[in-house]
Amino acid sequence: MIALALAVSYIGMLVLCLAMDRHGRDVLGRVPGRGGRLAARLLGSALLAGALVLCFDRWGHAIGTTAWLGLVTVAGLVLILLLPFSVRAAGTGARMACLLAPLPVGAMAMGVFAG
Amino acid sequence: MAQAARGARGRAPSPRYRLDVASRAVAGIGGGYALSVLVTLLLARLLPLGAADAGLAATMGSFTIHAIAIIWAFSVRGQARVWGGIAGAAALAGLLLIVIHEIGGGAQMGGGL
Amino acid sequence: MKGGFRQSMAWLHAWVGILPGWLLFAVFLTGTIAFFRTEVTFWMQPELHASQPGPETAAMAMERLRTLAPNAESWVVGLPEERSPTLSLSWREPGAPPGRRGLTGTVLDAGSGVELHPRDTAGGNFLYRFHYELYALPRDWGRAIVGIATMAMFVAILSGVITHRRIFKDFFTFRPAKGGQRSWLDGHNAAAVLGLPFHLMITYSGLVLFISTLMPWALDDGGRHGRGGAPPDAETTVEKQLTPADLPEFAPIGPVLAQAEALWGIPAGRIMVEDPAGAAVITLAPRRNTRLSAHSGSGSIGVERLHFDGRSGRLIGRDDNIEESAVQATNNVLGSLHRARFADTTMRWLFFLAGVAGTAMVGTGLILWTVKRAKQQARPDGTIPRHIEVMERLNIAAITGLTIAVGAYFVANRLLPVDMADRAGWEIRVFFAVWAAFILHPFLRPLRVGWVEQLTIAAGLFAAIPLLNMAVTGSHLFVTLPAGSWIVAGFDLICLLTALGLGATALKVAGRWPVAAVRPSGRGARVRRRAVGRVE
Repeated sequence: MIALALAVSYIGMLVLCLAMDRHGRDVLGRVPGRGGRLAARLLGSALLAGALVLCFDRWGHAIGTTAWLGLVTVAGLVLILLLPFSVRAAGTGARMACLLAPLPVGAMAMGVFAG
Repeated sequence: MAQAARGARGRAPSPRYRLDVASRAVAGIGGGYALSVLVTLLLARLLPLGAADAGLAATMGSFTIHAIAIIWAFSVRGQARVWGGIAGAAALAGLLLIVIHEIGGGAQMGGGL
Repeated sequence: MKGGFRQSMAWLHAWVGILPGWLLFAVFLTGTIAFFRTEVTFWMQPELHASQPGPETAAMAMERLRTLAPNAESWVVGLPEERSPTLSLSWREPGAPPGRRGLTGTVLDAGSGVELHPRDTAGGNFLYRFHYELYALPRDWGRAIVGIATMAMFVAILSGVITHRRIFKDFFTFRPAKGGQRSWLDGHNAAAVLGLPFHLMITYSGLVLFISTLMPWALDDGGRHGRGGAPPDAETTVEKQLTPADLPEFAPIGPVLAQAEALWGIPAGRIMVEDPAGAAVITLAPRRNTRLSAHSGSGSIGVERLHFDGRSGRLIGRDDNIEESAVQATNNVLGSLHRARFADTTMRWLFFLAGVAGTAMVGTGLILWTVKRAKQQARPDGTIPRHIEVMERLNIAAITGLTIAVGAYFVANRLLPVDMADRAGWEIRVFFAVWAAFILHPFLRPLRVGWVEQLTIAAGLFAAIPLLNMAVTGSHLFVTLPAGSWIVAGFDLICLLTALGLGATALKVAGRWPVAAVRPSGRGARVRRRAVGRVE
């Protein structure tokens, strides 16, 4: 559940990030058009809102909001630390792989903690 | 302050620049603190809450007032405005405080302890 | 007032940040560790590490107190929980002074009930208290100093937000490969902007926790003088000595705990029994606050309580300050957020990571201050003005010097003789002695060498901690990981990660350090930087 909320926050931040000029160019190799950017922003915001709902479900409204801010912050920090690596990788596929790496790794780590 | 900032680029800051910064620091930190104390005491009397609540609410907000005073002191042009703004606001708060005290309105307004 | 306002805010941000910055770095670093203060204390007492709670732990605790302290006025049981899996028992003998001083106590293995004898340690508590009271200063002085620095932090955050107008455009930008001022600025912005909700919260709530020191003028002073509990009752006379057999039976504790868990949604963390030989009221406190707005209390346990009749096990009362005003609730929320009093393990990690971002924000801000000025004010011969060198040396002392001192504190915990007199005091003395040495050290070495040496020593110390655990305790990673003892394993893993980070930074700085790069040695470095810069 927490792993899911973190993953959703992370993908939300990633989508928002790729909708930005510099990061879109660096990772996808092109600046997204106006429509694409709008769609990405909507999708990213929806994912972050989804993470908030998951946090409400787990912690209730007051503590859930706090947890959500924390999760989004941590997701953003992970993304920031990975972006330079992805920028150095060659090819859009490799770049995306760099950026999506934390998801399986995180899931495995959560599995270890849970088991 | 734009003038002061320009001074910072030079090798040695001029005495005038130092004096300008020192004066703003005293106004913002010292004067700003005095201002925030007065506004806090005033709000503790005026807020439509119980005495303890009004005091606590005003106190919790006081740091914002102090911070704004510091930002004011380091951003407006000219010493007159720096000191005028802070001293003026403090005088106004102090005056209101005295008026409220004199007319004894504090108790009715929930400020009496 | 177009460019003028922003420019003056940039100036204010730099100065309000650098002047208390070294202290703020220490407050952020020790405060961040203090989110885990109970866990740190547990790690620092390896004698406790084998303790594993069992299903009968609470019943065993009640039984044990009956034999240990039949005459006591009250009993307190600290139940094992996720932050510290031991069982602590304490009691107040008749006529003992009020407060903590009057308590007699012991720590047990929560599974076997064997009495444990943990080493004397200053624990996580020393770092916790240091972060808001400093050390060896009159209490109010320490608080006032940290409080003023916190106010500066608040102004620094506000002026920083105003200055950094491209706050959303640069949201995810971090270019370590660019090197120099650009990388530090990116890192500073990233840590600051992403953690902004946390930084604002922790700073403002820090100020609010200090109100009785910083802004006492409009407060009821009842709270301030009410400290220290009620005066002792007039001479309690002990009528006769009771034996364990004289105590009436208690209701089974299991169902009592189950009732509390059903009401709170989380298990109880503490059992308190008043007058065990007579009225025997059982009071329970939850492991952590169940609500964000619950008062965080002055001790480690909040104010939420359930009262039971000890003989029948019936619920007889509940106090959790539900009727507090909105203002009081707001105050409680701020205190509770700052101290993470409601946090489960996941939340605690989120607070810790946000705290790490805050520490990084202050550290990169300090470095940025000198890097920027060294570049601006470099003389034609490549040297930089003396006062900037001094600032840079103080940065070394504050950032890596303190990191080394923290590492040394943990190492001292493992190496000082276990039965040493005033052992906790010696741990603290080691901390300050090592810090003093590494405050002096950068003034005796060239700048870059100072950084590299301190980073290397810090990396070595933190790498040594898990190894030392292997050498002198039975609870090292090869034991704790398979056993799933995540408190001890987590501490060791964080030490290893810290060591890796510090080591990597040492290597990077050894190759290229912006302040040093503008000095005559800079030719090679400049060429390399240009080459790296092209990658973008």
